[in-house]
Amino acid sequence: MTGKGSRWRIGALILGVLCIFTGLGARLAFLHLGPNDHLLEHIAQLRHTERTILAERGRVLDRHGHVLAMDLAVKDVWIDPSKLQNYSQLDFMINHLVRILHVDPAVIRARASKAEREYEYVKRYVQRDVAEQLARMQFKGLHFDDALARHYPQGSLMSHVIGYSNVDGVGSAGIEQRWNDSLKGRNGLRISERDGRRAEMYARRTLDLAPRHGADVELTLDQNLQFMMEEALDRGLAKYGGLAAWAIMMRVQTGEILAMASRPSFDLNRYGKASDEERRNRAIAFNYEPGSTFKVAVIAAAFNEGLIHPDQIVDCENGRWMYRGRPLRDYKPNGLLSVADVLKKSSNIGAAKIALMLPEDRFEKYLRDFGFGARTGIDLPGEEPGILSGRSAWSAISVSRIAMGHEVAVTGLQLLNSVNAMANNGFLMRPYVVRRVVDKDGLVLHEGAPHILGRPIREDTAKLMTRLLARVTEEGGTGRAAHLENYTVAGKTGTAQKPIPGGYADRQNYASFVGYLPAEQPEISIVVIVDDPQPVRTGGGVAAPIFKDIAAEAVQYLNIPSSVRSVQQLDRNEFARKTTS
Amino acid sequence: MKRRKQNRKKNSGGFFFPAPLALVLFLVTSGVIALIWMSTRCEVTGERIQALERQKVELRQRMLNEEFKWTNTRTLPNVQAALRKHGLRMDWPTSDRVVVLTRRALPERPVGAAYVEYAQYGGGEPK
Repeated sequence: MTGKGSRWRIGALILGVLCIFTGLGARLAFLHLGPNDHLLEHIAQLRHTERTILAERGRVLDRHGHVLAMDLAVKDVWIDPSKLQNYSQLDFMINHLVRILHVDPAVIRARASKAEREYEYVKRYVQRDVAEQLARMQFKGLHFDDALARHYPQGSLMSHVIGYSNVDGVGSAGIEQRWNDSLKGRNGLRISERDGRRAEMYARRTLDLAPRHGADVELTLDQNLQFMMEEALDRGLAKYGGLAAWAIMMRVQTGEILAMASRPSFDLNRYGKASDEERRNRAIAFNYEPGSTFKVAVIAAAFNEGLIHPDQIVDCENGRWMYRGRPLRDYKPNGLLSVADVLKKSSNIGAAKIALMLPEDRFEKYLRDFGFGARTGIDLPGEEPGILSGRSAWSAISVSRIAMGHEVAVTGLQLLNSVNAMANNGFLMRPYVVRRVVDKDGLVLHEGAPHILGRPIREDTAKLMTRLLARVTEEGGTGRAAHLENYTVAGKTGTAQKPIPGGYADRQNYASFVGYLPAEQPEISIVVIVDDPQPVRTGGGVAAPIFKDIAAEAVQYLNIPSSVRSVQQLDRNEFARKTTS
Repeated sequence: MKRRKQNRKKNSGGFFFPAPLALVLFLVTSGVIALIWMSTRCEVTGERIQALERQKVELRQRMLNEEFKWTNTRTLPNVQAALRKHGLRMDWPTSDRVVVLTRRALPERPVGAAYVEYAQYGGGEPK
């Protein structure tokens, strides 16, 4: 009896368990095999998670690796107003937000009162230390998102070259714009599923695309030289006045830009508050009539054609010459001058007479070979090509006007590059500002290298021009103020009247000086331009002293041998060549 | 009459589990346990990876912030302000105060010498 009863109970238990499992199995089969798409979709939606992993934008560095632009890990602080209704500590929280984040309490209170909203910013780009201070207070409904903010540690230094990237991380000016594709990188993506606690389940990760951080851009510019140049421009503007000023320093043999400054300037961290005029990189994006600095190219062309020699006498007509019914004047009257003195004393009449010796087609060809009327091809956006109209558009007096730097417009960079060719044995280089682009793995994506654009003049012409330009900074020359002790400076002053509607302004000038040093073995070339200085308005009186200021510091910083040492070195080289041969 | 000996096997009241079924169940159970163990291991490893990923991001962000602070400290206006504060005047050395070592003048460097040390001699990257 006992045995029978036990068997019955076991049978009933098995039956019961079977029934339960059959039921569960049936439900399971129904869920899996039945019409449950909507259910699956709903679950998948709840579980699915996609997370963008931010890629850092590459850094911009100077030639020695000093950081000029970088990404900073920050937090976006936001509130969930739907959870803040009837929150007893709301006032307390707002007080702390105001104290720590310096936000307007009325604005925060208004945002917190939007009960229907779930996301309202308190402040974007908050430094991590500050955000962590807030996070420790554990306020309800206060959240933090990771973000990256662009930061420019040097503020306004080199601002026109570096440029800036906008709030969306897109480069909008300067290097940031030109090299945006290399700098921006590519965001990563993680597709996965999350559990009931909303934590990601690693095993369910279906895609894990790592971010590719942006490459670093190393410039040819040197922050110390840049600082010297900007300080010199500021001192110059303070001393001589002026609406604007700009300057460039180039390494003679390579075309590397060592410094490029433009005034007025702006703080890159507050670029939104800068005016268009402040953001304008005048060194490459501003056309102006160069005045007498243009004579360098004109006289070099005549020398190269063998039409003149340095001692040839030119009648400078005592400062007033009627050419084809229109008067041409010199700043200071001169009588008979040698060609060398035409350059030294910057005679407009002398330069015009020399230019008129050249056939028009040859004249135009030389100017174009020196790079006027075309962009230099520098790796920066917004470069202007200058203005040099074709021969067919010239009037009867155009050659005489172009010879003294009128009826043409150039950028500071074009002018510097053309004069740099004199220092570089006649070779015209393509200026460049990017030394290398290196990705995060150390792979070099781009390497800036010297590139010869052409050779408008022969070596002997270039050397002759250097000797003549060196006289400009000697006693009696217009550029005496650019003279540097122990260094021979070759250069040329320029004083161009500013064009106004219907003619030229009498008392408003562009004062400029362009030159290089040491003349014996040129290392650096520099151009300085000041817009409308007052009351002194000449290139020799305003731009040349600024040039000297910059050059004096640069030769010391770059450890450029003085002219005495350069000559000794040249003599030694000459001696070595002779003994070898 | 001699009492008939009972067949214990036939008349056993207990529940006998068939040996092959037991073996199958054992194997299945072992498999399930192994699967659960592996799954747990995977989960733990996944969590460790996630923790390391978070740590990497955190360290990267800290590094960026430290770089930011260091760069800000070294900016020229800040350096100048610091110099002024302490009444110091610094200038770039004149050429007679600069010692230039040519590559030939360098002492023999041990293999794997630190780059920073090497770079001080103006020798570029180590070969």
